[in-house]
Amino acid sequence: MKDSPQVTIEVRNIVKQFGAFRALDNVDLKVANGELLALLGPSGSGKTTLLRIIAGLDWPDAGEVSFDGENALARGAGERHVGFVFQHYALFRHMTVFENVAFGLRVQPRAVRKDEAAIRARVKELLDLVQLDWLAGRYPSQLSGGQRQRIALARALAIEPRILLLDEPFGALDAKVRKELRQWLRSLHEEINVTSIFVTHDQEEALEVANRVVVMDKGRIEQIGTPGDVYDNPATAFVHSFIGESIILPVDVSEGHVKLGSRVLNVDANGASGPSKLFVRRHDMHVGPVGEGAFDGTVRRVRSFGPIQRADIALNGDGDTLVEIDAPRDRNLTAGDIVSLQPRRYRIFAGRD
Amino acid sequence: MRGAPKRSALPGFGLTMGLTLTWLSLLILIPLAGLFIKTTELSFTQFVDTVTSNRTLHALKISFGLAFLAALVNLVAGLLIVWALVRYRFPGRRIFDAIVDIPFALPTAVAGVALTALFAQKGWLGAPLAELGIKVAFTPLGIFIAMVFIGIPFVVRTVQPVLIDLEVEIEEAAACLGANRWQTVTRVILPSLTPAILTGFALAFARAVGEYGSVIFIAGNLPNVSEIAPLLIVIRLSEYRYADATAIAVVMLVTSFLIIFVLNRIQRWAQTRALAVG
Amino acid sequence: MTLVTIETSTSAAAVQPFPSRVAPLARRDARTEPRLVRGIIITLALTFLTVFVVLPLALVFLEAFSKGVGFYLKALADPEALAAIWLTLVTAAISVSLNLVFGVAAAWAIAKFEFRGKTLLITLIDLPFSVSPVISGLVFVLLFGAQGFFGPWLMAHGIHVLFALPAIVLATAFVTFPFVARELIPLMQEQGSQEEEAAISLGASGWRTFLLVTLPNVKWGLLYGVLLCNARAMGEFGAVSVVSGHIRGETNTMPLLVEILYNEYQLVGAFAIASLLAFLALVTLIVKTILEGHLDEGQPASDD
Repeated sequence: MKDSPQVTIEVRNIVKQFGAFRALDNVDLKVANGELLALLGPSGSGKTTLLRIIAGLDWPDAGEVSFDGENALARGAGERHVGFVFQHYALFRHMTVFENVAFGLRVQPRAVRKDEAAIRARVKELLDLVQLDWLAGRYPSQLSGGQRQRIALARALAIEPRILLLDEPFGALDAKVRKELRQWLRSLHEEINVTSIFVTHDQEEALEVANRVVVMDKGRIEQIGTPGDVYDNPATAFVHSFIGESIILPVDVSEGHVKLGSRVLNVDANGASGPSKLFVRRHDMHVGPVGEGAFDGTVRRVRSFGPIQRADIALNGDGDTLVEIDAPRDRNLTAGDIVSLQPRRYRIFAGRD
Repeated sequence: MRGAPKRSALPGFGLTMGLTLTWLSLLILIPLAGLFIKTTELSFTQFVDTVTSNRTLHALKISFGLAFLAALVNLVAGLLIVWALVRYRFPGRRIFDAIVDIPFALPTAVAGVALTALFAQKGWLGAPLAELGIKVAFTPLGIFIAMVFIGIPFVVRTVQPVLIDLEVEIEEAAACLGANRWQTVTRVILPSLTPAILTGFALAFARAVGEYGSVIFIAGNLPNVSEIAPLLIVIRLSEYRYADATAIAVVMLVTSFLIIFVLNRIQRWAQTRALAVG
Repeated sequence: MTLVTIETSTSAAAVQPFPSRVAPLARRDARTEPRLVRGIIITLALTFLTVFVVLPLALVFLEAFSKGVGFYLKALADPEALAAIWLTLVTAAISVSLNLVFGVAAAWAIAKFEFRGKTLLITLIDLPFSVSPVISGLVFVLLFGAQGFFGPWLMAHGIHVLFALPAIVLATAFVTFPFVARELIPLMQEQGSQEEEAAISLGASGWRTFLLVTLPNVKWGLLYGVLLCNARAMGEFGAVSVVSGHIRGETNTMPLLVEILYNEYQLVGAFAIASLLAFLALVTLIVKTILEGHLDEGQPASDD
């Protein structure tokens, strides 16, 4: 497997419409050799559709898909050598684990099909790889969710795919198994080094596992970057609110002044103007003595957990706006304190839908 | 069966259970038991002689053999019909879907006379077939046709819901793994449908074995040629040879019970094999 | 087969507002067959259904009206025909009512309570489905016939069961025995007993709970069962044929009369009665389709 060719996937101007619903709207994407890429977005963002188009399970209304410069749309799903792992595993229930993994080898045209001994050896190798060789004789119904997922992966790898595609690979698993499998997928990818794309709606999963993250919304790509990039430098308001938790304040920008209600805030406009939104990470909000920060507020409630304390602070002069901030434990806050807040890092994006 | 239920807040167990068991016993169990008691009037050798007499054997062979063939045809045709109804869209699909149930709903005597008229020498289909030298009405072929007719709904209605619920993904998975359409259908889809197909086949077979009304009109009813077992029972009854009639009935009944037993095994096997949740 | 046009069932081929740059040949949907194969399968399936089902059905009506409406009506107004229709209605009314009461009782006992032997009981209820109609009639001949267990005693007391209405009703009830119960049991099992328990805890009597809570929940399923039960009751041939004695004008139901007239070459008469039965079957199917719609509708509601 180590010498399997690595492919650059290129997707250009892909459009896909389901009835009146635009699932993909002019999507461009390049995936480099050996990458482990996450497609991250809420449901309906088009991420699964994009994955299925790459696999050959759906066809775009317009646009191009190429593998290593070769037009992939001219080939059906079976001819693309793509390994696809389905969210609900899609294991063949009437076959044992062994036969599931062997399926892709057995259906090859007679001319290239391996002999029985080679197939057995290959399946054994794959079951060893996913550490489930002891389950070879079982039926899928006798496996746990995590085991099924790993068998599904072994089955997809059996055909020595040029690309591995995973649709919400951990979506159907409970939280604990999910965490384990994340680590496992990362190390597996390092071992087999096949260009891989996985779809997820779970930002933690995307940030933890992928080399690069593609954030999608409403059929468009909002941002492509490393996990650090998309977290620290969100390109759009959507990315900022979708990844990590943010304090979002509706502001008005005119002549370089940023106003929250009638108050002028002591922050830079970042080039935005008109009705806008101010985004601050909770831990990026510095709590200081009154008068020193961008705005003042009254502490309403404080909860402590772990290294931080979380406080609800009502902004003064604007009783409706309650912000939730994280402060270090040693910064002793109590309900009733009047404090000032200063964003250490923040972003302002124009528009306020 | 009489064991008191685990505590329940709801009333009426005694009354409803009593009614159920009374009606079941009076109408079904006692009369069926009577059938078996009646056979004891025959000694074992008499029973064997009756059942293995030439005419009886022929009738049983006709009923079971043709029913098996008809169920096979129903299996193949049923799969084609299910596939067309579930997977394709074409004008009149809903009407054809409803039409599948007609052999259930149409009284057997009506089906019998209609099929006979249709396949008689001067019938709409009988005439062209006669020109080809194929005689349907009043031959074993006619019996077979009638058995095919009454068996149509079974395979269709048992397989249809399973095919509808079949996960789309398993077909896509097979395609991604390089299987061509034929391999996907034969190695993935059909095996998934096997329990339902076998159930439908067994039901169609059981129905055809015991079928009377739709068959006797078209059968010709020639002893040793086109006489079905149920008809022979009727004939023995009209000759007041009750024990003989009963002996044939017992053979058929025991076979039906075996079929039920096999069906239950199929269902249990399907369940253990495919308990996969999601 | 010019009426057949083919569309794919998957969404992949849904609305396409954009001129596609992808060659149509490349659109190999992973989940469907080539156009030609689809065409062949549809053609085979529809031909099979047409030959085996549509043609016989059409033939019944055409034969019935082959000598005009006048002849048709005259055939139906024949006293023997009227007697057969009446006997069929009475038989169906009695046997369906009996099985309705039984079916509801059985469903209540099986669906609302846990007890040992439940699976066996359900199998026994289904039993008549796997018994040949002729045998269903035979068992009553063995009980009530001249050489039967109770026959001589009954005859001595002047009670006519065999070759009379009682045996016809019994045979019909035998073959239609499972219909109502088997429709209700899964439905009531699926709905559980929480609503009934709530009603009981609110002080309702068992009977009122059944009428006000259970019955409204299962009414479509109940009607469905009664409908199928009735169709079979009116159309039963084999079982009734064995026990009826074929006494003209007295113990012939409609299906039996069809046989007699047909064997006497009174084809218009035979097909006229047959057309009534076929019409009944069609109405049954239409009502059944409507009820299935109601049953499906009830599905999500019973989930919450």
